[in-house]
Amino acid sequence: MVDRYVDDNGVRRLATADELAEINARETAWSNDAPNRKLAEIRKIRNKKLQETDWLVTSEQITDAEKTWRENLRKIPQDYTTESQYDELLARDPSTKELTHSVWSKP
Amino acid sequence: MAFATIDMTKGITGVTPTANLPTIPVTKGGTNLTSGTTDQFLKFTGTTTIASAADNAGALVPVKQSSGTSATANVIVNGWITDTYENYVMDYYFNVATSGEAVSMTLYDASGNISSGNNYDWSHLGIDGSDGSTETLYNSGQNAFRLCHGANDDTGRFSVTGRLIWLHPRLSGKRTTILHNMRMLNASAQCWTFNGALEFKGTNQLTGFYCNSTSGDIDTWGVRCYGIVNS
Repeated sequence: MVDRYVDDNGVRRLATADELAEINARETAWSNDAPNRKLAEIRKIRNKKLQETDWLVTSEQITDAEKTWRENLRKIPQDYTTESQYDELLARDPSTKELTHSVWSKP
Repeated sequence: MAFATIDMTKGITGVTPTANLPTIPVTKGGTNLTSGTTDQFLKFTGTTTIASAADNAGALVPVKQSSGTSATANVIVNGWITDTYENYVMDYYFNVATSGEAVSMTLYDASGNISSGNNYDWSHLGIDGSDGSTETLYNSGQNAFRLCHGANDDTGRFSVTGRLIWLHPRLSGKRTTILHNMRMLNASAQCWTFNGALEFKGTNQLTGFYCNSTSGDIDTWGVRCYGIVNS
């Protein structure tokens, strides 16, 4: 088992048994909730991209390719359902930090 | 008969006993003091009087500070909040060891940490520095505050830095409000800035808090605490 430390008012010490139990419990809970967090992040990114292009719809200047792209964005929750797919959707270029999945690329 | 003059450069040796030395008045460049109080300063209390006095030059009085650069699961800052001041300011920075983590804050009172009761509410409105879009950070009825979420573990910058203004954390029978300004790095290491408040719905007399990353360690951190002078 890896030692876990606590910084107690500036003094670094090993976590007590109670603290270790609390640390493990919260990390397990956090880990178990990872798919929900990832989907929530994906929805937020998706919604932002839809909002950014709403003007295309209201101005009736939208192309068929853009309509398909927006439709695919709206279908993300049903088309991507596993955590590994969520990871692919959230993948970013290490240098530019831009999202790399093709679904995000506006035509 | 006239007094003979005395040549001070000749024939005088020895040291005048301290008991025979007078205090020197302010009007002659002295302090007229025979003692002072440890850790205090000299202060003019009149045009020709000086006394020992506490430093009250500023509205913020440093209380304590602490920092660390080794990985730690919990950062405990407890006992810094006392009845000495009604309100406090704390500046903080944290670097999470694992990207995408949130930083939580659990309060302490004299009985220990307050990790039950669902008394933690918070709401923040923020802005994404990369595109100006709106971000939010809120929740209610939780068992710890959330200082940030989805923070990046960027090595060249702190994951989250901010200021907490604690309003009456020791006032008996009243809830504590903590005003909160912070800037964080999001998943793509872009800057998000937030303004908001943390509301603790219990009426505990608070003494401090501990912070943790929701998973993994905090690898660098610092907290500075100031008391706000009521005057």
